[in-house]
Amino acid sequence: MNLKELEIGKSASVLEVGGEGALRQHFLDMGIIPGAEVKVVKYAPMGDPMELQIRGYELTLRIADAEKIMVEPVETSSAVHSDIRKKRKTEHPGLGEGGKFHPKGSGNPLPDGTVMKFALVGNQNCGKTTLFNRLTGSNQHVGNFPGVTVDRKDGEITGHHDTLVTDLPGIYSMSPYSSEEIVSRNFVLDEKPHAIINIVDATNIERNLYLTMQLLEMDIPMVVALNMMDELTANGGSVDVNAMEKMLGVPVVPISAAKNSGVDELIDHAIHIAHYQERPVEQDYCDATENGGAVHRCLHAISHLIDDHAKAAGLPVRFAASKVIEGDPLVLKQLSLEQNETEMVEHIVLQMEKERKLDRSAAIADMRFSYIHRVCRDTVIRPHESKEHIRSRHIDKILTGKYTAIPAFILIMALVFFLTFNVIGAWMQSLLESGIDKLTAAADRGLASAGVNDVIHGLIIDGIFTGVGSVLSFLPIIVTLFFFLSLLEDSGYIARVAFFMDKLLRKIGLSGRSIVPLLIGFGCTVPAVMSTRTMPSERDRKMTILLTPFMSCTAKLPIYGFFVSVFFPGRGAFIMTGLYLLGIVTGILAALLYRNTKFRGDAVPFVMELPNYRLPGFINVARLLWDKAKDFLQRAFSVILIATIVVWFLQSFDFRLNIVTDSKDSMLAAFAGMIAPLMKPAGLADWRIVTALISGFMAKESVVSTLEILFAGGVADALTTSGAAALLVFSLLYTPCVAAIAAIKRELGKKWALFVVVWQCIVAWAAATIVNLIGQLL
Amino acid sequence: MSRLDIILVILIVLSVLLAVRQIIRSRKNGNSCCGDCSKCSGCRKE
Repeated sequence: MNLKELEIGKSASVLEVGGEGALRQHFLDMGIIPGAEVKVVKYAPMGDPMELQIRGYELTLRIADAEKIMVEPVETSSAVHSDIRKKRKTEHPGLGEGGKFHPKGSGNPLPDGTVMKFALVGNQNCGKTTLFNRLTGSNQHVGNFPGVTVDRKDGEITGHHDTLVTDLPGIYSMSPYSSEEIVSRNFVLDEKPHAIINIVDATNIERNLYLTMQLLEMDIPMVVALNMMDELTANGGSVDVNAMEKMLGVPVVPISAAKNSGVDELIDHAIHIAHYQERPVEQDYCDATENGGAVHRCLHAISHLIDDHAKAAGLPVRFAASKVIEGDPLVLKQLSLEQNETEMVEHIVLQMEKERKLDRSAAIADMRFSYIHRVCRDTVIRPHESKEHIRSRHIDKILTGKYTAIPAFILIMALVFFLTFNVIGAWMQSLLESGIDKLTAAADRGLASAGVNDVIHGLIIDGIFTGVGSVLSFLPIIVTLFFFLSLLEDSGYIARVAFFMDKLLRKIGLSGRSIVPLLIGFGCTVPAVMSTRTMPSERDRKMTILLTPFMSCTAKLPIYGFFVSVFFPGRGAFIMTGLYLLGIVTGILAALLYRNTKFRGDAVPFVMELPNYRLPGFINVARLLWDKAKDFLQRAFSVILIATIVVWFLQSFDFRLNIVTDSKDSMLAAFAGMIAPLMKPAGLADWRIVTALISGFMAKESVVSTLEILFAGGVADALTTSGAAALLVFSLLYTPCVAAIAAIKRELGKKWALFVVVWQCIVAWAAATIVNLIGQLL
Repeated sequence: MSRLDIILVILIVLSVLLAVRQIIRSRKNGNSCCGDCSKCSGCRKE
């Protein structure tokens, strides 16, 4: 039977993994190999995808992909590590310890003064970033890997000026499935760090050790940081660290990055092995006796055959051999084998496949997992199901239940918006507004009593105070919405949303992964665009980026709030919700158009890990909110201040620099008047509105400050209700701010960035025109 | 224009210059939203 036919709650042993190419390799790397045991946990509310439990963690898989995996039901789940060897006291092998692994004074130390370079490598969700922050503190520099849109962070270990740690993207293997994996692999091979710090999640050790096995093949000094040990031991698990070190041939240091324990010891080991260049003790991971030794003989034969080519290409021989067997195109290209050698390799591999009765990729994956199984059997006492996992299961019964998932999602999002706009955010906003009003009034009185020149008085009160003040009052709402979105993402809920939204998103040509950037886009378009970098499919990534501008960001809230208070008092929640929904619906229509034109084809397969739910760290969230608030305030007192003053100046003076009594005669009216006729069908032909919308290109918040100055409180008389509605719709949909366009330009190039500007304006104009016409008819 | 007027004009001009300097510096340092989250830690969560 295939995996799709397995019932919920039942377990099965994998017989055969179908499919081909990079996706199939990804399945194998995630542990779905012949002989592995899987259990079906649930299906998404719409019947697709499914959630599986394998090797102690949860994975999502589409039904169409599950059909390619043949399984055989097993009666009961075999107790993992039930045959754990009787624990003996294991002597420390001396790896990473001064004078034990190599006699004092010998070894091959780096010259004094060398800056030791470390690569920090590990799976996603293993605590890598937390560890990186612990190691480097604030001594970080954030950059970019050349040629690819993958982030890079470098930092010096606190207190060690002769070190440089590079945080590599979270990866599951060294196969070329995604740009992250290619970048990490190339970094290790090309930049040749002096040592690798491999962070392993102790609560998910089998899957994490798969990457460790491949890193060991690279023959670079390495230390394994066994993270989340506190969680493991709290749930009854333990690790015989000495025995694990002996089996892996590298130092293993138990740590808890979150609690900052063991990190100092890790640093000591890392510096030692880097300084003395202590490479992994050579281990023949392929067992010469297992399954007739087919894989073992194959690996060694090919290692001998390609030895000279690997050395010429600067590749570790063992790593190159296993990649050649897997058919890794990048490695094959680097090796430049001759015709004879290529044929010999093929014959050797074919023989191995025949003897082993598995295809080459599955055989290599099986070899690695077999060794991992032996390591875990001999050194790990598995914890009982962790409290965190039990809690996640209970919560998921509701949040991803067949009939409850989507109503729960709608309820949660409605609650978020309600608390933001009607309760917490609104309350704090009214306090701030009242404070700003009092300050403005006091300044007004002060300037009047001091007899300040009318023009300067006008600039300060009608320009600066009114303009900047109108924007500042929205800070609480923006911070509140960001807080809730961060909470949803960091808690692990948004991964679940991706799971049950996958089938729905596929109807518009995307996969469940796209929901993450789209939801983040409700906060700000820039991080939303950046978060698409983890998407393995270039097509999906491009399409998602083009859709994020349709998700109304927090910077537009001042515009909505401004018009709602003037034209739609008491119906704020209704109008706001309507605008957000309109943005989503327009985005869906755009996606359908893209799917049938430029982005034909289906979304890529959806394979994603579901981490446990967790409470986000207070400090992390507070830091993020502070950064957001600081960025907003900086923009208010820089970009918006300048925009305010420039607008005030242009609308107060004519081309001869005389003060005008009617702003219709000003320079600003002349410029904006050239574009205003284009906006007539949308009911927005007023030059003041056009000016405000143009200023929104710099920062959306400045639309409000510009309107306040230009209308001087008289906007209610200048627009009809349908005009106001059209303006809201135009603001919702037109070009994003310059920062968002810069982000899109970085990810997709100038051509696409320009397309977004023009396309969004066209869509906004069309929608605003329709709204205006409907409003006039009603 | 009185002395107070001149002082206020100077303050406004200084504010604008400081604002421009802040924009330029923050673009270089990555301390504002420049559209490049790899340059800043503010707008992107890890």
